Amino acid sequence: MSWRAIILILSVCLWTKASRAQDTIRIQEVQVQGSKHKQHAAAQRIDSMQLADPTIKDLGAGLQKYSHAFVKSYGIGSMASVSLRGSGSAHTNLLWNGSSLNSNSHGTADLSLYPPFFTDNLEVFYGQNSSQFGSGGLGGAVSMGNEVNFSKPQQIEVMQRLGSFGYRTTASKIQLGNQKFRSVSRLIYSRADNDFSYRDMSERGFPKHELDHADFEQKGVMQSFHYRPKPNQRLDMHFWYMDTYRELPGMMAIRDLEEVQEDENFRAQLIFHQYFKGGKLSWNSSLLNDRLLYDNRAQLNPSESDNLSLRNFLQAEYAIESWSFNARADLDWESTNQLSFSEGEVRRFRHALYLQSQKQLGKKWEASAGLRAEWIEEDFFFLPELKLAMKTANGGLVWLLVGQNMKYPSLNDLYWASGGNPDLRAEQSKSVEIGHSRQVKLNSSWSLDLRHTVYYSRIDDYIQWVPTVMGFWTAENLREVESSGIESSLGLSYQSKSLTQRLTFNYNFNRAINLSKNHPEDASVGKQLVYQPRHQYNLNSHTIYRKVFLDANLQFVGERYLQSDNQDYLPYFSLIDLSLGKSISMGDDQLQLSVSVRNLLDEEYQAIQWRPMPGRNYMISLNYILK
Amino acid sequence: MAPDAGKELHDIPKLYIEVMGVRVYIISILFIILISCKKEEASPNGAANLSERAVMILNEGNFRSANASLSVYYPQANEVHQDQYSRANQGVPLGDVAQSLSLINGNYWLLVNNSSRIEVLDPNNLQAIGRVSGLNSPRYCIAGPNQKVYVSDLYEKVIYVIDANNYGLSKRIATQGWTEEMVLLDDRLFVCQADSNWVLVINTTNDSLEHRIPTAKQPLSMVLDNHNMLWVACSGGINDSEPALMKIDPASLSIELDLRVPDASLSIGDLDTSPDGSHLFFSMGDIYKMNVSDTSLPTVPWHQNPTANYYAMGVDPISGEVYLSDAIDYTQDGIVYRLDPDAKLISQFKVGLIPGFFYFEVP
Repeated sequence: MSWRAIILILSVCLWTKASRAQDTIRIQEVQVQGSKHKQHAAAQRIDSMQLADPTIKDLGAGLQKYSHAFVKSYGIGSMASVSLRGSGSAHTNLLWNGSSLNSNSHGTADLSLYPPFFTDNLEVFYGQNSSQFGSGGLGGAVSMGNEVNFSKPQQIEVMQRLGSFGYRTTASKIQLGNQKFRSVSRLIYSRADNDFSYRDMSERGFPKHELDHADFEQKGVMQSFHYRPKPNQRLDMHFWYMDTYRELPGMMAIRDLEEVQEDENFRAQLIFHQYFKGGKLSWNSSLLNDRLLYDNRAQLNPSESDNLSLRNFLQAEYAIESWSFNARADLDWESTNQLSFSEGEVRRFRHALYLQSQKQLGKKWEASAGLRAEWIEEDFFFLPELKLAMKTANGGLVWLLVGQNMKYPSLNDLYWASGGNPDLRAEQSKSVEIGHSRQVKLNSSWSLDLRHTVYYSRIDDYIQWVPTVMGFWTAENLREVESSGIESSLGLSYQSKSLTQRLTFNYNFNRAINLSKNHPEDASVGKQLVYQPRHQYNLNSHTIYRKVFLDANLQFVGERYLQSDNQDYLPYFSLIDLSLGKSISMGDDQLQLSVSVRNLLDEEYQAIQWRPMPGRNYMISLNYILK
Repeated sequence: MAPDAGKELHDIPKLYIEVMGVRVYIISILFIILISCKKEEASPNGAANLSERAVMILNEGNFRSANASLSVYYPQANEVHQDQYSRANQGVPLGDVAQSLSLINGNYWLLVNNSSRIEVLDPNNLQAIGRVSGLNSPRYCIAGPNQKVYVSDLYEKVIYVIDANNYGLSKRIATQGWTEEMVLLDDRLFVCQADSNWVLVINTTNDSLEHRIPTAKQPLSMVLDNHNMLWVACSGGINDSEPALMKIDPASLSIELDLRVPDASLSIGDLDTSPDGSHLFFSMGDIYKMNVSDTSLPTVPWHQNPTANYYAMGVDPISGEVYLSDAIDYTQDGIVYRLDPDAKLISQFKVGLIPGFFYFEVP
């Protein structure tokens, strides 16, 4: 299966390479903002072309397709959590312009709630490279950013997508203003019936069923204002409201569940940048309110949680001669109100200070040292890190990064009635990575990007929920977990007058194992953690030929163990998506049309055991840009 | 020659090295892809030999993971066969949270709690021959008079009455809450109603609720002793009330004995009797044995193992051997310890995920 898929992708590349024609540009302007302090970071950028991929319905799908992240999706329209470097879903911080969006109550972020249309810039920071944004990212951080270009002409973009299983999305982005003031408005309405058919492997004879009770509806608006009072000042304001209604479908063997989840999110953010010679001072204040209503009509009473956070940070970046400095002070207030807490509402403060200095040592070497001090309630944490980088003779870069991080227990872990454990300790990690990156211009047409990282981390006091003899589950610091692996990326580009071709490949090997033996008969010691694939890769081809583009994507996810003793597993799966489109100029305006096929080979697979996933399906996308 | 030709010629070795490097890279990746593809292998477990007397062990599995299974153990041969439901039924899974099993009309009725159904199995080959569906969250079932089967339920606030002949629902007896284990004595059905702290008394001639007996918090488990006295184990809830063992006279419906445990962090459960009904076995952290004529709780455990994570207990009604299940970490195959009546370990063996119920075949 996997070989068929690879051959198909390579065939697409060969077909396009053989074609000779005029170049065209499908993507809109890509704004690259570099930061000196991120130069050595193992950050992977999902560019605007990839974010505009019509087959991506949410951030989770985008990360699975274009990064090293493993996204654990409970099915179409259902929750999707991200895992980086073998860590748990609560070990990845989801950031919005630098502020964490992880839930106060359960500590994770549901990526299925985030449409890529509301993001201009998506980056993944692996492991310790995420420490500059805050603690808790033991696996790393996913960073969403909203950018603005004051010199860009005013424009209105309207997007319409129609797909199989009643999928339709209407979205609009309106950019107005001048070189001093910009307004960017985004609106989205999306819904899907998700009524695809599947073979029920839990029933004798494997009958075909249609997925029932899987409606999805999402409404969202984001309004951003950007103002430059002076050439060296910028004020950004963002207001973001989303309302998502989801029927959570049953699974094979439990088809009659009638669960409903409604998420209502309101976020407001104020960011001020003061630029000065050699540096920048930034203030970021975010008000985040996430309400979640869950109703299981057949069984439990509805439950509701209301998370409110006020997150603030002040950041200063300064460079002088061979030195550069980065300092960030965070002041966060978090609260969660839900019936499942014995006290109803729980609040806490978090304060942190992060300092990093970097020094050029001659022409080749660069060293940096960082330190995070963090106070949460009565606890204090001291988290150092060290980076060393060297330019190689052929223009590449080799780096070494060592550091410590910690993940403080979520409010659910601590205070959930009947199971929350106020005596929990923070999960502590120590990590090291060695990386190499290189950009090679092979000739005037071909160029190559290589990036490889070898990493190792150990998490102590890993929190796990376990049942008790009393009949409920409780959180405990149970395990020590070791994660090691390789991330390897290759980007091959061809550019000529007649053709643009880009091929990217991301592979990761991860060995995430349990080290602790909490029972004399524990067979999980030295075994891979559940739902953590050892092997995963994606292969993407993007080709532009005479205003026509063709995208081909292959995703492979290796087998995932279902039990801690590795006695049972889900088999690997590979998926292929294809998109073919054309850009049509209509005066200054532009119309982009595309048709896509997802899961081209109609692979029958389960990402989570017994959760049906859709077979081959189709989508039509239309983008109209009015200038 | 073009002005840059010399430079291009000079670049050829470098370009060659780069291209070779890429080839090595691609070959390495293709090799990794090859080794990363692992096909499913068949399970090594053979089919059970159902001519011998067996112990059926229900492995509950994880909630919402539909990974419950049925292990079959032969005490005489000390042999265990895993995943026997799937093996007998075209490889399909048993479902989500296997709860309990009863022998009714010569067939096994296997309650799959979160799959909301009861699978009816032929005991000779474990093949499914019928299904009771339309239930909410079934827990236990018991055969009543006139081909009636009573089924308790976690959420539905009823006792279902099922027709044992056609597996259809014939009546719903309102209960107001979560019902658990049941005992039938003459024309009375006694039902633990866990969330209301009652034992319900249902008249099986007209299927009506005729009485409620108040108990300590959360009655879950219930047995009859050799004097036909009803013993009820109350867990005490979640750390907020004293667990208790209560003796009820099923004739007068009066509470004869109320033995409270002065430690709310403990829980009493898994109540069972010795084959002659003269002794009770129950779990309270450790395993305790108590003579039914005693008027106080035992202070010394009958068996303890501080390293085990006991999850369920069953007493063989023929041999008097005690079977204890250990869920280990709840995410790996569990273990069953088989103890003789003197609490000595006879054997231990691996079963499926979270072994939670024992059914002992009686010849």
